[in-house]
Amino acid sequence: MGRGRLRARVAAVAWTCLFGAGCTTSTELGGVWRSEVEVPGPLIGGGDPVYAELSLGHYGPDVAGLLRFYHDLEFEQPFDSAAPYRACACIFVHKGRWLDATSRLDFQLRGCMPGISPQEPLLVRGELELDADELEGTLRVEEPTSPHFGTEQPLRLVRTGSLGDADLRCEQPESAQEGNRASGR
Amino acid sequence: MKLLLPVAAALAVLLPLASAVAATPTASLASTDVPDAQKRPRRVALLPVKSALGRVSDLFAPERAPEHLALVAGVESSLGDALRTQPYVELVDPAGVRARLGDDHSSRATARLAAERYRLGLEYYLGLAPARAVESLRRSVALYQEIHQDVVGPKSIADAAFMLGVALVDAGNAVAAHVALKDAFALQPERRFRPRFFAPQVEAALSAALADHLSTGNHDRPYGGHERLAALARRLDVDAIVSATVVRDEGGALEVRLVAWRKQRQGFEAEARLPVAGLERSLEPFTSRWLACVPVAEANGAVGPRRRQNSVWMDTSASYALYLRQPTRLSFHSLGFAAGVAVDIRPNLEWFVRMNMYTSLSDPYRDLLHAFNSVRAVAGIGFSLERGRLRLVLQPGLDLHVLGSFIATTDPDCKLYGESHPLCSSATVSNLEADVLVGLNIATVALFDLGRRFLLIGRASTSTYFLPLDGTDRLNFPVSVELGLGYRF
Repeated sequence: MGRGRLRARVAAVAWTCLFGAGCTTSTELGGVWRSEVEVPGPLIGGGDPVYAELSLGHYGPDVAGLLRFYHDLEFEQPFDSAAPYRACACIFVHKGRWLDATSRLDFQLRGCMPGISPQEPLLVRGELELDADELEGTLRVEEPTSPHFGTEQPLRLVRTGSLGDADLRCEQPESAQEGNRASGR
Repeated sequence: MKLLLPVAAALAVLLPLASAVAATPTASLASTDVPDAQKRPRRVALLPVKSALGRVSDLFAPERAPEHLALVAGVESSLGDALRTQPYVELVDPAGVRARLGDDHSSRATARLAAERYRLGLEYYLGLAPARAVESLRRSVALYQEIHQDVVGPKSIADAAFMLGVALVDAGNAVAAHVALKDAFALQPERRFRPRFFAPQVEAALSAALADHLSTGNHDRPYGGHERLAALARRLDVDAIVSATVVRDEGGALEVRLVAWRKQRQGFEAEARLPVAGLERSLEPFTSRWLACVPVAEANGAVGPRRRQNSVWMDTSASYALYLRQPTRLSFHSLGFAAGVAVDIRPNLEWFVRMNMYTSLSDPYRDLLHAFNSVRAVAGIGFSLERGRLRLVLQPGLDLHVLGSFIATTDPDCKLYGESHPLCSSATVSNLEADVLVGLNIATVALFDLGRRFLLIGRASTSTYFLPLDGTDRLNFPVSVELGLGYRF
């Protein structure tokens, strides 16, 4: 390697170490994502109209978030968040991982599914791919003891805005009467 | 007889040279009194060589190029070489002198004011108000003198001085006009004018003034007396100043009138009149005898004026830091500023105190929950080493670091919902809020003398914290760099 190339490489590494890290803050997924149309069945839809809202925080390879369900497209009539066990209002996202190379979000949900299990929690795995301002993919039941094991659900969400405190409201596990099992705790 | 002839010839050459050199060795410390390792070069400025070789008959013949310019340049070069080759001499040659004075930003406002006064004087003169013109032009010349414009480039000050003389002629003050024009020729003796540009009485006054300058001008002090040279030495930051004028002696032979001024001596201490023929040969005895009387400063500054004991150094710097051990997965950057004081207590030994204020920005993964501020104080002693304009200091010290709201976690639920949310496990949170870290710091500092006591300062340091015992395993080993400006009192 020539001395010039070596110097250039050292300079590039130093530059990256000093400033590059600060520029790679991945906030691609951070914000609120909503379904534009009624979510179909079988996991979420299938009965009364259901609209889904996914609020995400994105921290490098880690993603945290909350999935909430609404009765209307204006997202003004939530399922009852004060009684999520009964009303299946919201579910916490677990083990959210952002795969930068494939622009894919992997996560788990452990909670109710309004379409097939509005009261009993299910383990559901989600895989959504990012394409511009759209997240599209599937949810799949991975609860081994459930008769719905392997059932899949397509899901398509579009970015609608940034996160606010109100977007993260979900019944606290310890304050719910019987534990917020439906919300994932 | 064969042996006596060469000895007599040698004496014939050496004796006139020896008598021509009038150096007066009065200094208390000779070069050899200081050990070599502690010697510092004596800073000598050589001012542009002047000449008094013009002819009155050429004054109104601008088409005739001055014949002596090459001769003057040659004398200047020989003088520079003679000084440069002397041991422990750091020469600021005429180009360097011009550059230093030209780079001095503090004189620019004065130069602008002098130019404005000159223009105003010219307007008064053209508006037939010679008394006001004289007042303005006098002020212009004084301002130019104040900033040593005659050394930087004499044309502008000579313009004002000649115009002052012309205005005085118009005002009917012949005596003052003669003095002013003679002074103007002292500034720019090779100045020529277009014939019939001025009125006949002005031309006559110019001719008389030049003739007077050539015959009775003070060619031994071409740049003025002690006060002016002392001010010039301060601006140039030199220990001594050498100036010279090339003149014709009574017999018409060319000679160089040399004079050396020294700051510590507070005056002129060596003068010589050397024939231009064989100048290189005769310069060496003059310079070596004069410099033998000029003390060589010790490295600790005991003799030299540039370094003294108990110097106080102050600086303010921009600062950047990162930690080699941190609870975050990627480094977070800390930016801030620092201010410090260092005081010499012995040669090459100082004590210092520094304060740093940092704002630490969140890392790319936002493991650091908030940007936070911290204050850091470092105190210790420094071991310094100086080489020319560069001073290097090694500073070991004690580091006290008060952290602000330092809370870090790798749990994304803590980041999204906050550290008090039930989803956020407290086991994943590193909370060093308001902790005080104590440790040892080591720094290397480079100070570059910018002149006029200003310094450019670069500092690199690292610390290792050992207290509190439960905090240093999470956050430790800060590395910081600083760049700033300082001033030496």
